[in-house]
Amino acid sequence: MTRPPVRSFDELVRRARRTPAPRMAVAAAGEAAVLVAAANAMREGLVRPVLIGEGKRIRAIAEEHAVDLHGMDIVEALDTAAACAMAVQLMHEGEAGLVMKGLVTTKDFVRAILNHEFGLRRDRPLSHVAVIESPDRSRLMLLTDSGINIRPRFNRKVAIVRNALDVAGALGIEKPKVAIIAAVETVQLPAMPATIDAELLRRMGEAGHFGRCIVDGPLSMDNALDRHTAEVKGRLSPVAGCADVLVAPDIETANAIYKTVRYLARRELASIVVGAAGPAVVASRSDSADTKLYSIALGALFAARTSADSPLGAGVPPEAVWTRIEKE
Amino acid sequence: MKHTVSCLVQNRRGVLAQVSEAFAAKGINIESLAVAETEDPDVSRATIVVTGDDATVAEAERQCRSLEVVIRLEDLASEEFHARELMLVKLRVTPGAIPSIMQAAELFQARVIGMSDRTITLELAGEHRAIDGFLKLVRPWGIVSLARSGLIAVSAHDEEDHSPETRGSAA
Repeated sequence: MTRPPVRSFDELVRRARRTPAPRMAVAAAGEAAVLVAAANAMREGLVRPVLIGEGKRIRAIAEEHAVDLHGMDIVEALDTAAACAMAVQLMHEGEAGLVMKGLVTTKDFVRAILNHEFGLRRDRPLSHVAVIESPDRSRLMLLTDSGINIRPRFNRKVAIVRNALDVAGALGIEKPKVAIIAAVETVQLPAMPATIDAELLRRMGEAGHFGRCIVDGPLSMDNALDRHTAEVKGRLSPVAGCADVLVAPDIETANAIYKTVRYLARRELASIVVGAAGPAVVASRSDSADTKLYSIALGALFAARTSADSPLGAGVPPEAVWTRIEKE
Repeated sequence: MKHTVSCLVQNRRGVLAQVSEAFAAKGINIESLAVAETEDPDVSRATIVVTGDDATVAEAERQCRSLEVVIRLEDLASEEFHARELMLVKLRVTPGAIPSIMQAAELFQARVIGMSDRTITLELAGEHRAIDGFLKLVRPWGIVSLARSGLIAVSAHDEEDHSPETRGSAA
C-alpha cells in the first residue's frame, strides 16, 4: 500500500519521526544555532546527532546557551576540514545516515562530500532540493537547484531532475509533475537557451526516461503555479497550475525564488543536498529554527529511503574517539 | 601532404577564379576555400586547404604569388597558425538520443541553434580536428544535413602590414 504524500511541514516532521532516527553527523558543530537545531531535532525524535568539532568548545557553547546535549555523541576534530572529513567518513562507513553542515563554508563541506577517498560521491552529481508550500498551502512542492549547480548544462539538468524526483519519492508524491521553468512557453533560440533544455527534458520525460512522472517545459512560473493563468494563456497541460517540482534554469533563478518564498512571502522552507550516498543538511545561519528542523526532518526521511538500499546508521563507532554525553 | 594557404588578395571581381585556376592548373584539388573581407575593405583573405605533393603545391603557390591581384601568400604548413572552422549540423533526434547528443555538444562546446520535431541543429566552431571528432561522435544518430565553412586561419606570428599606405610606400 502506498502512503499518501506529505502535505505540510508538520506532517513532514511527523512522518520523519515515525522512521527509525538515523545518526546525523554534524560537521563543525561548535556554534549555538547548530547545537540548538541538533537538540531540537533530537528532542523531536528525528535524528541522533553526532557532534563533530572541538569538544570543549561545543560543551561550553551548549552550557552558555542552555542546550541539552544529553544522548548526543561528540567526536573530536581539531579544525573544520577535519570535522567535515570525519562527518563524511562516518556516513561513508555506515555510522551515520545523514550529514549536517555546521560552522563551515558550504564549499568546504561539499568538497569533503565529494572527496574521492572517503567521500560520498556516486555516479550522480550533487544538487540542492528545497521544499516549499504550494500557493494554497494544500501540499508541498520542490524547488531545485538554489544552492549547488551554478549554470547547469543539459546533462547536469537531467541529474538535477532525477535527484529532485528521488526527494519527491521520499515525500510520497506518487507521480510528480515536473515543471521546467523558463521565462516563456516556447523555444526561443538563441536568446533563451534554457528553453531548448526545457523542451528536450520534456521530450525525455514523455519517452519515460525519468520514470513515473510528468515533465513539462518550457513553462513560466505563472503557468506552473496558477491554473487560471494557464487557462487564460491557453497553456494547458497536466503540469500547468499544479507542478510538484520546479526546476529552475540556473542558480540565480532558483535562489531568488527560494529567498522570495522566505523573505517576501514569509513562508518556511526545508532543504537538503542530494545526489551523494546520503542526504546532507546545509542550513544557513540565517535560516529560522523551524526551517532547520524541517530540513533535518526532510534529511531523515530521505535517509530512511536511502537506507532501504544500504543499511546506513547501523553499527557502533569505535569507543576511543567517541564521547557520549550522559545526563548528570 | 595537407597545406593551409593564407592568401591576401585584392577585393575585386574575378580574383577568386584566378587563384583557383592557379591550383587547378597544377591538378590540385581545393579541399576547402573560405574568402571574406579583412580589416581593410579593399583586401580579402582567402584560406585555401589543399592536399598534394610539396613540390607541386609550391609551384602552384609561386604561380599565385605572380598574380597581380595577390598581395601576399603564405603556406601556413611551415609556421604556427590559428585556424578555425564553423560547422552547422542537423541531426535526427529521438528522446533516447538526447542525453548522448547533448553530452557530445557539451564536450565539444557546440551550441543548439535550432530544433524541430525530428531534428536538432547544432553549431560548432573549432579546430578542424575537433569538428571531425564531433562528427564522428554524432554520426551514429544520423546526420540529416551538414554545412562547413571551410578553414579560416591567420599566422600566429606578427605579420607584415598590408594597409594601403604601406603598400603605397613599398611600391
